[in-house]
Amino acid sequence: MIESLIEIKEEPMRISKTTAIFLMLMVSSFLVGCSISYSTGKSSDSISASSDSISASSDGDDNTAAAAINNYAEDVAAATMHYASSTDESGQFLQTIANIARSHGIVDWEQVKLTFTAMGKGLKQAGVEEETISTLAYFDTLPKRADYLLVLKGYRQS
Amino acid sequence: MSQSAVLRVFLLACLFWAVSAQAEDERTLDFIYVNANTGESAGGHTAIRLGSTVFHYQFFPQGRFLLVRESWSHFRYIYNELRNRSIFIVRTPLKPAVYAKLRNHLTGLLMVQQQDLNQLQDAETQLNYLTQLIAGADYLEIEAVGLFDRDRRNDESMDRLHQIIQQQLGDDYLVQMRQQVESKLVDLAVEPTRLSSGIPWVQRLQALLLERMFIQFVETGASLAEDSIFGESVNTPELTANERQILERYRKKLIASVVGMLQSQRFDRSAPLMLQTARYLAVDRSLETGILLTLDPFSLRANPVTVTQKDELHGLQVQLQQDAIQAQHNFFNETVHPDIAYAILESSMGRLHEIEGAMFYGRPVRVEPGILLPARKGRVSIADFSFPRARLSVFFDETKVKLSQLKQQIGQRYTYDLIAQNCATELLRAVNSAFIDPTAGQQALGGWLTPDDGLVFIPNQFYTQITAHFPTQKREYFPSRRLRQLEQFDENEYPLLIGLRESNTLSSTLYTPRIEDTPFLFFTDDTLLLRPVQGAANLLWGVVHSVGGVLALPVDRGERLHQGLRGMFYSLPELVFGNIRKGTYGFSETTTAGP
Repeated sequence: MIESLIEIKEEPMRISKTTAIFLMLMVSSFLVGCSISYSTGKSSDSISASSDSISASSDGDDNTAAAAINNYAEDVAAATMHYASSTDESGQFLQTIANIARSHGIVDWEQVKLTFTAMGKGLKQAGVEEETISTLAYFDTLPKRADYLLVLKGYRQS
Repeated sequence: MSQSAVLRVFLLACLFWAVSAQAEDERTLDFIYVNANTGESAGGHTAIRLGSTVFHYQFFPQGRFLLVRESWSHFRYIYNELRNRSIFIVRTPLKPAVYAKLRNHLTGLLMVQQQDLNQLQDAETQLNYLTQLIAGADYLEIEAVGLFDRDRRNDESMDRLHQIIQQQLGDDYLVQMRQQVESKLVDLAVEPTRLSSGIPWVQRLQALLLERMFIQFVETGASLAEDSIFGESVNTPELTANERQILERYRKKLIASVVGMLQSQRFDRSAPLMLQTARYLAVDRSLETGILLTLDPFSLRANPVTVTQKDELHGLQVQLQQDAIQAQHNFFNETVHPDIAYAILESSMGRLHEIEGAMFYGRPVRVEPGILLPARKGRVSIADFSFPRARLSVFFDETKVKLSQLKQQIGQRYTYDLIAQNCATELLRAVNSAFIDPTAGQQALGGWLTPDDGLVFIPNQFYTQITAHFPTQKREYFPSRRLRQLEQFDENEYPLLIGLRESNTLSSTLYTPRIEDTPFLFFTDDTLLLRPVQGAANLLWGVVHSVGGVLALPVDRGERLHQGLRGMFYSLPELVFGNIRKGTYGFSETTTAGP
């Protein structure tokens, strides 16, 4: 690991407003953004960056599947919270879940238990009352399935 | 034990509990400033970190300015190591509830952003399909179909899967499923309805066509397309006995996934069905050949990049080989989420295959970031359907209008502006929008800044204002790669000699000139008093290169001239004690393959 935390040797320079504006105007013609996404560029560095984006996604820990699943759970909770607070139809909600799963490398999201606990967490964040969960579109199909218990587990643990 | 000893133990226990509780409660919002370098961020860059996750805004193709989430280690690797920029962090303490609120809010923003982009992509796909249907096309190109070769039938592995499905679900299950799908397709074709449960007509058509294709592939024993599977390169080692066992377990899991999805009511099950089936065939072939084989993970969205320099290719190949080996190790040791580990393995093997294609055959390298899921497109026949063109024309017009509106909305929402909508202002807006008003925000964060405050739109000033307005608990400084390496020189070496040697690009042992860094002579990020003098020398160096660029115009189409002019430009701040340029590093020069 390269990591080395040392005391601050040099703070960002405090520059006068005039100098700051001058510098910004100078560079404005060359600027196309605060930062270009490295992995979508045309240079060979983009190849390295696109690979590193998954190989180092867990801050030094080599278990990138664990990192991906944590992000997946957060996103599913956020999507569920949004769904419960909106007028979106259940089909759109499931499409969103499928897209989220796909972006995290998950194909069969119904087989991932964390999907349903994260949904429960999202429902809690949206302020949905527990007794009304089974009346929501899509969630009304779950009570006969074991997945529903996972939703309740995620809800109650939040 | 005496009373005083008991009291001492009790007090120590209380102290330990108090410290532990405080440690558990410690959460921070970390504001990050990355100093400038040449190219797209001559003004510096800003980000925030929550835990080990960084949120920041980046510029993407098509002029979009998007919120990005990535690991701190990846962020550091890119900015601190490859781009050779120093990172400054100031940490503001947060209560756990505020930390969770902020993190949820930023995740929510990401989710909404992705939904917007998906909506746009879906509308574009819908318009594309409607155009083809109205024109009377005989087929549509649909994802995942291209992984199979329908002309090669009676594949033993596929036949085995067919038998398992029949055993577990009944001999007629696929037959009945095909009949239901055909019936739905006929209904869909005859009477197109815009939406069903929020799903557009074209998406439902696509899903049903894919299901019909899946059933056909299974029933006819279709095999994998030969060019859709990778892994049989020169030095691929054979699977060990343990690895074979794990693959056999994973094969069973894939079969269970296919059987499970066949019983699912998800309308979007068809693409996952195809992929899991393709993976099952790839795993089966791996076990048959004794070599780990994976599917081609790239989609049509991949960027082709041409790499011609041998040392770059070699360096890339070494890095990607290490990544692939690590991904293999992780997959063969993953017990909880093998699907994700397998997807990461597919992505890594695919990237290695690409670079080997460039090395041995001179092919461009397909580049696509993130965890990839194989989705190669292939043709699906629609010749047996007669679609009502008049009705579809109405859909087409509506979709065209919707697409135009979406493009405009997304263009406005995710646009970049040098002053009003940049990485600093949008980061502040994102954080501030987690709170109902500034008072609540100030109470939660301990400070408050708005994008309109002073010069906060300049990343450098953003950092300065943050340290002035927010309670800061701790600061961190990560010197750039070159500065870090300068400090590691042996103390016994003469500092003056080291300074002279490393001060310029001609004799430096720590840096190799790169075209994208523009031509320059002296490093000025670690000097101050001499900066104007060195800047003048750099300016002159840029002039010389520009003159050379004029002479080279017929040969290099102005590349040298362009770089020379840029080199002159980045020398100008140095004349007034400023610094932007620091040099950058390629991946092949990094001391580690990632952090």
